[in-house]
Amino acid sequence: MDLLSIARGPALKAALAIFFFGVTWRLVGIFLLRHNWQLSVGRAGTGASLQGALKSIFTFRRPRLSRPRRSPMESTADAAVAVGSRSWPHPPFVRRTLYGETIGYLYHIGLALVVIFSAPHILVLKSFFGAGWPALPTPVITIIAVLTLALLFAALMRRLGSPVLRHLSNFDDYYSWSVVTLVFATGLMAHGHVGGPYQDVLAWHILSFDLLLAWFPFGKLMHAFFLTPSRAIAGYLLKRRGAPV
Amino acid sequence: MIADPGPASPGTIDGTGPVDGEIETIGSGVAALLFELVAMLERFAESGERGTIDLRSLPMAPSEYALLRETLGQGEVSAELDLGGPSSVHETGFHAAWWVRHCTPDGEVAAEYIEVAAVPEILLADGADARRGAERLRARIAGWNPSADAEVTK
Amino acid sequence: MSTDKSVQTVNDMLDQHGISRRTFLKSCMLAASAMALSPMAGSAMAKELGGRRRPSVIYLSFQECTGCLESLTRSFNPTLEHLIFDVISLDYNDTLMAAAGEAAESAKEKAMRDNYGQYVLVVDGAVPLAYGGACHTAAGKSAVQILQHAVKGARAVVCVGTCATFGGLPIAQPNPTGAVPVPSLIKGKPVINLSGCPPIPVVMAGTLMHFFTFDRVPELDHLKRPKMFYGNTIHDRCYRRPFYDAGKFAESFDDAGARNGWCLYKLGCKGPTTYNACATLKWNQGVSFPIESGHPCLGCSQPGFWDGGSFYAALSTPKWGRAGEGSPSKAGEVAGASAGIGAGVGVAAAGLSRYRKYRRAHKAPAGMDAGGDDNTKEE
Repeated sequence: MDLLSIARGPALKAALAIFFFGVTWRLVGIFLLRHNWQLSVGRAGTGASLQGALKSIFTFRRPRLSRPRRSPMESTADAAVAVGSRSWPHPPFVRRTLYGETIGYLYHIGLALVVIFSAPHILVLKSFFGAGWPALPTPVITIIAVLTLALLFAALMRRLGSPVLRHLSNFDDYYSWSVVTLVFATGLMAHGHVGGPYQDVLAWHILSFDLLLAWFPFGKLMHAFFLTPSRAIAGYLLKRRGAPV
Repeated sequence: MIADPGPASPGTIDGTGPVDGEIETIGSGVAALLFELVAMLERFAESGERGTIDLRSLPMAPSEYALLRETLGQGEVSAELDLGGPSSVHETGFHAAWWVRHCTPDGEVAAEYIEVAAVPEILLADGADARRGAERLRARIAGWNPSADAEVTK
Repeated sequence: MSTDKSVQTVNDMLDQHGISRRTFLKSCMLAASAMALSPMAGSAMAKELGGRRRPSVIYLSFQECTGCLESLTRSFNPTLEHLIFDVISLDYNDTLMAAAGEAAESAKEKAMRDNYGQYVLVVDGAVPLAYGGACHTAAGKSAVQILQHAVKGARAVVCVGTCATFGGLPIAQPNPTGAVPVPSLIKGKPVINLSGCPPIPVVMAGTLMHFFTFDRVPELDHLKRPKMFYGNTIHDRCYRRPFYDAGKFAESFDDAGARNGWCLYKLGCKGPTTYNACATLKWNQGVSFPIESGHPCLGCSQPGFWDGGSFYAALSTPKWGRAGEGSPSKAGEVAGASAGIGAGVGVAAAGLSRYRKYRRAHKAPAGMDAGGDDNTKEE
């Protein structure tokens, strides 16, 4: 079997299997862990209404409370608030972290647009989900993809340029970045028909995606699944102890 | 490298014709071709060296093709050949530059070139042809009575 | 002029058939043009070939549908494809020759003896190895035996068609006859692969002409196919390429995009990964080729194209099984099964963690902290 058939066939199947196995294992394993009981009473006066919670997701501001005790509804609202309010740095820190935050948001958006709205990807997703949707024009995808690749490298430069970040970074950080950038770069090469026979470039793109899927559950890429639950839980816990979110 | 017939030259089946928005004028330009022809004619004049310019291998827009034909024009000599499909040779307005076109039996142009020579090669008959001709003619006239025929043909 | 076949030159033979030297010259010029050579190369070709003894060709057919031979012989014009039969001495071809049985076999043996070391062996069809090679037998011998016997005295071997070059349809899963491509059985002889299902007639005749004229194998790619015909992909020369670049695709057969002649990538076109001359030389004397007629390229000149996934699934999509397209149910199976296992492992891991905490909580002497856990209360 040639490389492309392997990439599209057994390698993809194995990668998907590892991905679903790993993600489910980690999520189930973590959520079923024994956690400590909350023995104290939930603090009053620091919860939120659901309306306030929703509003806070978009305004990134702490909502005001009125009820004296924490109800399940309030607790849920706390969780939702935390997801929103941690989506942007608190005002005193914005100036220091603006660059990193902006790069991060922009390349995530770029990745999402390219993955979801480029024609060959829609065909793949259609084969998984049964339905497709209109694609963005090819030249638009090219521009977005080039900008996103540049932003990925900007993110790496930022990590390497800051002594603090360099000190904090480990194999996981660099490897996860490499795996994502490799998929993106090979995809751009296939899109532009450069870098060798199309068959091989496409095969390497699909194989690097298989590698991404296989690595996903075991590194920091899992933040995709952990982000929302961990913020929500933090919000819930902090609010019931009377801390601001 | 695969021979690319290029955009339409008259008389061809054109599968690589202009698509939406494709510009009409592409290729090296007629002037460059004609400069090359001038050089070939001068070489032929000096040393008798023959040469060809294969028109099918050059990407040429229909307007460039027409301009080339118009510039070279028609000379004193024309020949129509039947070689399992029509072929034509005509001298251009410039001596020793010949325009040769070979077609399939359906009339599709299969090869087209400008040849610089005393006479295009396709028109020549060589010694082997003559020998075969002689053998065939001898076989044909074997047994004829020359004197009886001479009276008839007077 | 000689009518004795053993010393007859090409010119002699042409003269015998009433084909003039000029007609032969014209045909050679057309052949040269098809191979991207100048017409003067055609002239050189005519001179070279004319004076030579007619090259002997033995044509063997194994597991094949005869499409390759049909492609070569069903040309309607007396151009290159017919020319090749004038030039060569086709000493054995079990489909075309008038003789049959013992007469045919002894003609083959005589031709191989008389031209030992000089004849060109043209082969189409794959060779089956299962059951001792019994899936293809002729004249009491298996295909393997016939091939190995014929290769001994051959000057070169030309494999015609995807079945001979890469195994084609016979080698597709599950390959019940144990078919193998012909080059895998040949050692020590030059091999030229002319793949395609079938190959374009001009490709077959042109390669043979090139070989006989220049007395050498043309420049080959890594799959032993002549670069002059297989050097570019269909995609690189496709007239619908501007639509691909602009992102204009036909979504289904006979929709508006298809009728406008837009790119067929989404309909499963294998043009980007297929090397052949269809987009430039086309078929039926340049009338059309599959994409121009609205059908996506099958990739028929590539190895394993029968097992390369559905003909109608785009190159970017997953390939499930031999010819399977991806589908939600198939993807769901894989996801569900692995997620199920993952969940099981997760439950086990969580269970193990809880058990450990429980043990730790109960192992510590009364009054002392065990592992920093304030709550000794169990769930």
